[in-house]
Amino acid sequence: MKVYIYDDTFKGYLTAIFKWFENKDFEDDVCRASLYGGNLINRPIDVFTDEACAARVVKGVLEKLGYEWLDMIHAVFLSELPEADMLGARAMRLGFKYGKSILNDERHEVIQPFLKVARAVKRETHSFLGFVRFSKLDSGIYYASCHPTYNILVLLAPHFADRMGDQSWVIHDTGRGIAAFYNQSDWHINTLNLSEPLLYAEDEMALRNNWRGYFEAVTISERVNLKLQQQKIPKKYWKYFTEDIGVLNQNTIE
Amino acid sequence: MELDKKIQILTQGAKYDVSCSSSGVERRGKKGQLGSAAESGICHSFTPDGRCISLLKILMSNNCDYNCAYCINRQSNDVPRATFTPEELVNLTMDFYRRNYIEGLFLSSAVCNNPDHTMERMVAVVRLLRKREGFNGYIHLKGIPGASEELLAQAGQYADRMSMNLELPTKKSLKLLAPQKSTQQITAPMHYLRDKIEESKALRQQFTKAPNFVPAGQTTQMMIGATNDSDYNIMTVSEGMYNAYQMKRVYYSAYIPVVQNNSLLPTTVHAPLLREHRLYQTDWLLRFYGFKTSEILDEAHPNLDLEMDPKCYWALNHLKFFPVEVNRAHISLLLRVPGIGPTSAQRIVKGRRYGKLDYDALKKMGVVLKRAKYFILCDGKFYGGKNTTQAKIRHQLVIEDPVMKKLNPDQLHMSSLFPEVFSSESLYLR
Ligand code: SF4
Repeated sequence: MKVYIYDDTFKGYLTAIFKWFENKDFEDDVCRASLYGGNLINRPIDVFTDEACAARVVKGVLEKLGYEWLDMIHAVFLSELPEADMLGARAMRLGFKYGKSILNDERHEVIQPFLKVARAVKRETHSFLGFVRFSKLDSGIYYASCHPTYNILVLLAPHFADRMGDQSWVIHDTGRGIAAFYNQSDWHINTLNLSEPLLYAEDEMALRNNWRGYFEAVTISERVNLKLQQQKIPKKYWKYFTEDIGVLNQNTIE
Repeated sequence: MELDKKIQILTQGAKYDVSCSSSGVERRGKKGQLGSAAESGICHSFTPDGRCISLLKILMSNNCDYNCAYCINRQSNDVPRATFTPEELVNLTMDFYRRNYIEGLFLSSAVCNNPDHTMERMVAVVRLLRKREGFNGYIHLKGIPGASEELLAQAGQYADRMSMNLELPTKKSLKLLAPQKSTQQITAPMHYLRDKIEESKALRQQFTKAPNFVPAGQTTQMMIGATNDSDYNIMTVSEGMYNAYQMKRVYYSAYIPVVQNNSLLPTTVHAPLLREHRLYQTDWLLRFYGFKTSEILDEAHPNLDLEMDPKCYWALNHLKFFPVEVNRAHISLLLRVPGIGPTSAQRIVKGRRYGKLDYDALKKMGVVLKRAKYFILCDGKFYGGKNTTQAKIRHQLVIEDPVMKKLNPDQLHMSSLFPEVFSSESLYLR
């Protein structure tokens, strides 16, 4: 059995998929380099990312399956789960064979987990559109740190480039050591590891206090329900918030 | 006065307005400007009470010349007063937005001097935001009852959404509790806004560049439990609001006893949150399930059964329609089955093309079988048990009701119960 190993990029993934289809042995595996363990029965094959091959897969998916599919395949890829690479490949193969509406067959053993992962990635992305918190630095740049479960910076960046179009910003995925950088016209993703503490703008702390004050004042004490709050904002995200999640402030309960 | 103090006072005065949705309009950002709007709305945080924070919901001023009995800001109440300058509000909105704390601004105000004076100041804020700051984020502007059409027309150019709050479902109740407001003053602006919204929509179909007017539509809100109006009264008014004014949403807010010792108001200590929850569920049935108020409530049965959701209540009283075969039933019928929602109904209709659906398949599609099983057949089979009677089913439905389950007698007043309503936008996100 062969394993097509690629360089962890989406284009690399599509190239590997191209080889997988071309070779027609569907017992073979596709696997990103960072997740490849290797064993005795596998025969690893290094795939070199090839723009043309990747483009042909994209074209095929768009023509035969449509944009929604491409979007989902990308989302599943970004999950970085061990099963992600094969889920995408198998789902695509089913799509080409039975048509795009196979996605409606929610019970299918491949489609079901494929949709589940794609939806989880999209759900997290949607949450982060709201949860990202910028701080203004002394340099005037707005900086946010976060650590999403999935590798979603590339899905977040276009939203913020559109919305915060007139300010330079950085969204730092501290867990992965990468960041999206935006300079008021384009964004790109690169590695980032901070060695020195950040220097905040003069009014930053006052604004954070304004926000915390707002957050406390808008709570209706007769309705307090911390469990629900935790359900809405999973604990693993808490430390990236400006406001205090999971606690009741004295002013709120008075 | 310090800014922090103002924020505190003017937020506390605004927080009982339950609407905080930022949905209903999709607007891309503009080059070199700040802001965009997302069709489905975005939650930026959740308060300790579990409600979504999407907008900076705040009052321009709480210095009120009116004296509505139920309101903490009423003139005769002894509370600290504050008023923002337009500049303060503009800066606060921009600074919060730049840090991604909010989707935009929801501005309301107590009545200072007179309705027009108040409305004018509010319009000044949104004009500055849109014109001077180039702000493209979401703006929800409350209309002040009795404000002139001219001011509404200006407000509507800048706001994405506007709301005139009904406050109470009947003229009589309004007269009793808010003697300075009249139903006329509230519905006339609704009327005006509806016409202008339609006009702008029609124009925009011909000329895409025609100006927008309140593109995310209008909403309204009623208070629950401050008067003895029945659920039937309330839902009939709601239905009228949806039909006559094309309201995007009607919000219900359980009256929280912020006012003590007023003979006009109930002396309850606890807000009727369970009732509020049931009304939201009923509202949901009107908007997404094809129900009419008259199917659920009437003069003879003016109030909902608090122990179960209104759809179960309806189904239980219409057992003659059930059970329905999930492999054949039309989607409109599936939607009437307790435990089947719009998403699972869609999944059933699509999924059954690939073969017969059995009990297990329904589970995977998100059908709540604990409720649905008494009302469906899967491929001819009934899973609701032997000798089911109406009384037995009712008993089971009450036990299995997600709200009732969490309820023990000491908790009746606690708000740990009804959360879904506050996050209602997100129900439709998958
Ligand atoms: S007009 Fe009535 S409801 Fe509005 S702030 Fe004044 S007292 Fe309260």
